[in-house]
Amino acid sequence: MESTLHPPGMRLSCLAAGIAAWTRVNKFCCLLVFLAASLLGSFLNAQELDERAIRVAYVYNLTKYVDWPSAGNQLVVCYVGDGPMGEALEKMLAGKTSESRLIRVVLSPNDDDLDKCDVVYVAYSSPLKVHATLDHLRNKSVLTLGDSVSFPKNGGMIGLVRVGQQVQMIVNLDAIQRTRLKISSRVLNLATIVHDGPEARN
Amino acid sequence: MKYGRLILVAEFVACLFSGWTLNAQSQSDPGAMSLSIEELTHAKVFSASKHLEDSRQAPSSVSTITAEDIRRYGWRTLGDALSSLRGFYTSYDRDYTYLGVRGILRPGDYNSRVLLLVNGHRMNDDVFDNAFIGTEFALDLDLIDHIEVVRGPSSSLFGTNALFGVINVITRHNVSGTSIELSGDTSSFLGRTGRLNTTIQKGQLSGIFSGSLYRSAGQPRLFFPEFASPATNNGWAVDVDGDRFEHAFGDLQYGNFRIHGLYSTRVKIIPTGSFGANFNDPTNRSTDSRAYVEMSYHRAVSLGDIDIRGYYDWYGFLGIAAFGGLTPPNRLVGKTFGGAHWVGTEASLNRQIGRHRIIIGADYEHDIRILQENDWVGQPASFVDRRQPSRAALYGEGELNLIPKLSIRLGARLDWFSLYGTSLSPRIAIVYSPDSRTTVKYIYGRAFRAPNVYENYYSDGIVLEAPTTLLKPETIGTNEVILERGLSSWLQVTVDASYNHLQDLIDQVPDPTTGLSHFVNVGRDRGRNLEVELEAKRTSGLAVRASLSMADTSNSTLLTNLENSPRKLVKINGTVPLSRFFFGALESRYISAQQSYQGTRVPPAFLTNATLSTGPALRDWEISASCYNALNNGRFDPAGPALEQPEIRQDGRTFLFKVSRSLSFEHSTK
Repeated sequence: MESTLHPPGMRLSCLAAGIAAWTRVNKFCCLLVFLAASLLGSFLNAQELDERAIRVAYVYNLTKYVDWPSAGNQLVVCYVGDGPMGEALEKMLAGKTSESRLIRVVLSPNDDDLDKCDVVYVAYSSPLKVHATLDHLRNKSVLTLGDSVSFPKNGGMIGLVRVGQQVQMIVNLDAIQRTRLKISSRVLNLATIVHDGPEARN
Repeated sequence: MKYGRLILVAEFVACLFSGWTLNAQSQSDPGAMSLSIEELTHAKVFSASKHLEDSRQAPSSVSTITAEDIRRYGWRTLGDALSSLRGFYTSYDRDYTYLGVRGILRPGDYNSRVLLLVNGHRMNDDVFDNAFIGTEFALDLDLIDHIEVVRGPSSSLFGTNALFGVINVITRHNVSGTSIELSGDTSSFLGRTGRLNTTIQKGQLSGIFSGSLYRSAGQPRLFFPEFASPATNNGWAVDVDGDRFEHAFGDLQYGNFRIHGLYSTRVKIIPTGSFGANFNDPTNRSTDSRAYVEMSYHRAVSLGDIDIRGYYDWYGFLGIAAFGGLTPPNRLVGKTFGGAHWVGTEASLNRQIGRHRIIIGADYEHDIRILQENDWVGQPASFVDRRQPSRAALYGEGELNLIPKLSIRLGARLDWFSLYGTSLSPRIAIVYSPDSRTTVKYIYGRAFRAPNVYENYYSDGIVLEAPTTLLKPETIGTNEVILERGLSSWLQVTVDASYNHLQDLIDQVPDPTTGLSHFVNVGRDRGRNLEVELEAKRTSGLAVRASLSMADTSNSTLLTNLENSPRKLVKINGTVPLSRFFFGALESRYISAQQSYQGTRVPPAFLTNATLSTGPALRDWEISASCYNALNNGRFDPAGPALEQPEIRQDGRTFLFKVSRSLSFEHSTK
C-alpha cells in the first residue's frame, strides 16, 4: 500500500538531521529525540491498523440508514476489487443482522450476480474497472461504496475516505437520487455532499 | 558539529535495521462494530490519548463540536462555540475574550489555564500563554472540521497550561479534490468578512490554502458611567471599537508527510481606557500577530504508530496607548511590545500490545528570543527584558485492558524548564463499561502551569510591577467521576462531578506600598462542580442538547467565593430541519450572577441566538442568517484589573448574513 512508497529510515533521519542543523539548538534532548526517531524509522513495515474495521463498521451502519425499495430477508453485501477489504467484510459482517435482515457477503460476484446485491463495495485500483462497475450499476437500486475521493465524483454513491486520522463519508446525492434508494438525513448531516463530476453526468 | 558523528552512527544503525521488516498484519477490531455512525465519524480522539478510539472510552470527559454545529448555529468565534458546552463561559472586555471553565476565570489571566491546539500544535504563546478565542484566534471557523474539548487536567500528556482542559481544533481535510470556495458575510456595525479557500489534489499530494479579511467598525457609541465627566466626553466612547484581522492558512500533505502553518494579525481599538490610558482616544489599540509552520511525519510500523514533528513559531504583541490627556504637551504615547520566536520538536510512539496499549514520547522547545519592551514615543526604552528559556519533557501513558469491561490508564509526564526546574504530572483513569450503553469513569490527575515571562519579569510602572521573588509553577489536582448512559438509541445522559484543588495559584494582587499590582503565588483555591447534560439525536435530523452546570468555588485561605465565578450555567440548544432546504437552530444560555474583581455584583445574563441556514440540497451554495441576542437582553461581563469599569456591557441584538459558493474542478484519477 502507500507505505511501501517511502524508503524509510533514510528520509527520516535526513529530516531529523536537517531540522537539528537548521534550528541550531543541538542540545542533548533534541538529539535524543531524533536519534530515537532514526532508530524507530528503521523498523518500518506496512501495517494497516483499524482503518479496515472502521470501514466495515461504516458499511454495517449504512445498511441501517438506507431504505431499499424491495427489501428481502437477506441483505447481500458484495465486494469487487483487488485489495484486502473483502476479507475484512466477510469476517466481520457475514451472519450479522441489520434491521432484521441477515447479511450475506459475496466476494467478486460476476456481472449477473452483481445486480442481485444490495450493497456493492468497489475497491479496484484501476479507475477503468471502477467506471465499468459503476456503469453497470447505474440507476439501479444498489448502494455503491468505495474508498477514494474520486469514487463519489465519478458516479459512486458513498466514498469512505481516509482523511487524516479519520475515515469520513462523501456522499454523491445525484447518484442516490437517480435510484429508488432512500438515505436518512442522519447520514447526510454527517457526510460531505458532492455532486456528479463531468464524467459521471454523461 | 559536535553530534555529527552520533548522527552518522544512528544512520548506520538505521540502515542495519531497515531490512528487518515483519509481515504485514491486519488487525480487525470488532469493537468498531458497536460504534454508531456519529461515533465513527469522530472515531479518533487525538487529544485525550493520541490513538483511535471511541470518545466514550476516552479517559476524560470529551465533547466534540463539528463543522456542522458551527454552520448551523452561526458561531462567529471559537469562544461562541466553546460557550455552548457545559461548564464553559466567556467574558469579553472589548479587547480580548476570556474563557472560564468550571467556575474559574482568574482576573488578568489571558486564558493561560487551558491549552489550545491547532492540529495538535500548541497555540498558547511563550510570552503571555495566551489562548485566543475571540476574533484574535488565528484561524477561520470555516476551516474547522471539528473541535475536541477534553475537560480536566491533561498535563500528563501535554505539559504546561493543560490545567482545566485541552481544546484541539482540527482543520478540514481536502475531500473535494481541486476546488475554489468563496465566502463573504456582512454583520451589524459595518462588519464584513471575505474568504478565499482553494484546495488542490494531485496523486498523493493534497492541500488546502485559505486567506481571509475581516473588518468591523464596532459599536458607534458606547457609554461607560465610570467616565461620566466633561473631561472624558461624559462617558461616551465614540467610534473607538473597531476590530480587524487578516488570516492565512496552508496545509499540504504528501503521503505520510505534512506541512501546515498559519499567519494571523488582529488589531482591536480599545474603547474602555484600560491600563490608565486616555478614555475615548482612538490611538489605544492591541495588535496580536501569530504565525507558525510545522512539519510532521506519521507512520504505522510494526513497533506501532510513530509521529515526529518539528516547528517554528512566532508571536508578537504591540500595545499602543495614549496617556495624560487628548492634547499636547501633556499627551504621551506609550508602546508595549511582547514578542517571541521559538522552535521545538516532538516524537511519540503509540503501540498496541495485545489488548493493551502504550504511548511514549519526548519533546523539546527552545525560545530563540523573548523580548518585552516599553517605550514612550520619542524617548529611549523605559523597560527591556530579554530571555532565552528552554524546556524538555518525557511522557508515557499505558492503557491496561485486563478484563473485558474495565480499562485502566496510567500516565505521567516529567517536564523540565530552564527557568523553574522540574514538574511531574501523573494521571490515573479507570473506565468501566458494564454494558454497551453505560460508561463510568473515575479520573485523578495533577496538572501544572509554569509562570510565563510576562508574570515573572514584566513591569510598566503604570499598572504592573515585577514580582519581588521568582514565581513557581501553580498546580491543580482534580478528582472526577463521570457517568455516561444511553437511555435509548437517541437519548444520552451525562453526569459529571469533579473536585479541583489549586495550589500556589498565580494571581495579580495589589501592592499597597507602590499602588501597583504584581503577580504572586497566593494560597489555595478549590472548586466543586456538578454537571448534568442530556443529548437527543433523532433520525429525523432533530438534535437537542441541554445542560446544567453548578460550580462552588472558593479561596481556602480567605474563605471567600472567587471572582468571575457564576454558580449556575444553564444551556439549551437545538437544530431542526425545517424543509428540504433549510435548517433552524436556536440556543439559549443563562449565566447566574458573578462577583467582579472590584467586588461588585454582575447581574445574571440571559442570551438567545437564532440561525437559519441552508442544507445539502442547495448543492454548491451555502447561505445563513443569524440573529444574536435575539431578545435584546441587557448583559454585562465582569472586567479585569486593568479596567476602571467593574463590568462591561455586551452587545444587544445583532445580525449576520453569510453566503458561500464552492466551485469544484474534476481531477484526473489516472
